[in-house]
Amino acid sequence: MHGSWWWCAWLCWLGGCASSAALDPDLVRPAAGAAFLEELPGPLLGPFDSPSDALLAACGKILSKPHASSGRADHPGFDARWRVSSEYCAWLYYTPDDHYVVSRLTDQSRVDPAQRSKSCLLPSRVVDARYPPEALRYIYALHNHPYGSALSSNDLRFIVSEGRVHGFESETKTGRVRLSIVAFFSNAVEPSSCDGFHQFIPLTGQVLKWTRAASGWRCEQTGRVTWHDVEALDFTIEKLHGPCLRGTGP
Amino acid sequence: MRRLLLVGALLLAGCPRRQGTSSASSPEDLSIVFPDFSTRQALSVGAPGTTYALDGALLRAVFVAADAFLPREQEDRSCWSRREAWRFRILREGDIAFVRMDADPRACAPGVLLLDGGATYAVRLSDGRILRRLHDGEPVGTPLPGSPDAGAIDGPSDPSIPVGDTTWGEAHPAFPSQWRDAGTPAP
Repeated sequence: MHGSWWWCAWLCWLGGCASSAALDPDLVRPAAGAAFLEELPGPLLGPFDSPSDALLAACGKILSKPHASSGRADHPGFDARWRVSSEYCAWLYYTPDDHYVVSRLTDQSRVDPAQRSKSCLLPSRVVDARYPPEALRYIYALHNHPYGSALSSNDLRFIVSEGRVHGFESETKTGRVRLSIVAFFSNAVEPSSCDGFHQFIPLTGQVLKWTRAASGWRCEQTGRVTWHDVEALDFTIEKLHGPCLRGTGP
Repeated sequence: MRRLLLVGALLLAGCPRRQGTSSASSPEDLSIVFPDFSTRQALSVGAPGTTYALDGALLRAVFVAADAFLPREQEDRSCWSRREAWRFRILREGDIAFVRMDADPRACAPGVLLLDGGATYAVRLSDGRILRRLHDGEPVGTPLPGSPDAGAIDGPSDPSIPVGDTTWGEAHPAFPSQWRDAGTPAP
């Protein structure tokens, strides 16, 4: 039993327990004991002219947050880094004046006493006082995966549920943009870097993995999702392994 | 020194106490390989007027997993702490029941939804002991080349596709038509 308390103390020292330090102004979270936030304020980053620029800025910002990356599993101390790791989530949205903007972040999550389960509860709505709420278009649901794992079942069901509220496609100045969910990852712990992300686009069924290489960004289609129950959101994923090429279909 | 001890005590008080069954503290069997539930279509039970049969050992395995992952004593924390807010998928392989637990997006509507947070438990049928747990995001094992958890891929992708762009793929022919009209209209 003593061992467990020392373990806990060590995790606290690493940053696993809530501290009394002032909350990062980039973050919002509910007060202790309060219900989960149901709307997210904006803006945090932007305005951007292209969704790619906004996405990469969000990747760098989210992965710069404490314990956003647990690094590689084969590196010493991975278990401890995993236990203290955190997920952060946000929306990237499109404004009536044709800009891409990133909302503030939240790290509100379902508590797991064992600190092994990681989650982020992303509010469905963004409130940006500059625009009427119904004028915002939801483009990317953003979060990080501390280990860089693939998108989870809950991630896929989340974005379909949000698509049924906000729509799966939005008209922008650069064309019709599809709603998608993204999970950023870093291969390093400190300092973390935007090394890639997993992406799922409900309208096409594409599951993609983007990685940054010395020669630039590369995209691989890792799967295709088919829905079998439109109410219970049951689905299967056909595993794929090939580069992203126009004209090859989903 | 007293202040340091107080800070330490507060930090410890903020940490969770160990809970659960004896299996929670047992070392996990890392040799167990988890099935990929996402590639298999599940058969839903509970259709009105249909009778289903379930072995007691299988039922116990589901309860053991649910008790560990969604403890009854924490049900009042939030909607997502209640097991009615989750869907359970079960796959039996020999003496092991794999129990997959995912949030049901309909359960806590119109509240906020979960990203990640699911888990799969491997429970031995003969004694109801949890052999291994795998939470969303945790490494499954040693990354295999080409697996989603693996490193960079080989082969060039189309350089004309901007990073994260969503416009180049064809719409999925089986995308549910009733979803297509959802949400607010484009401006």
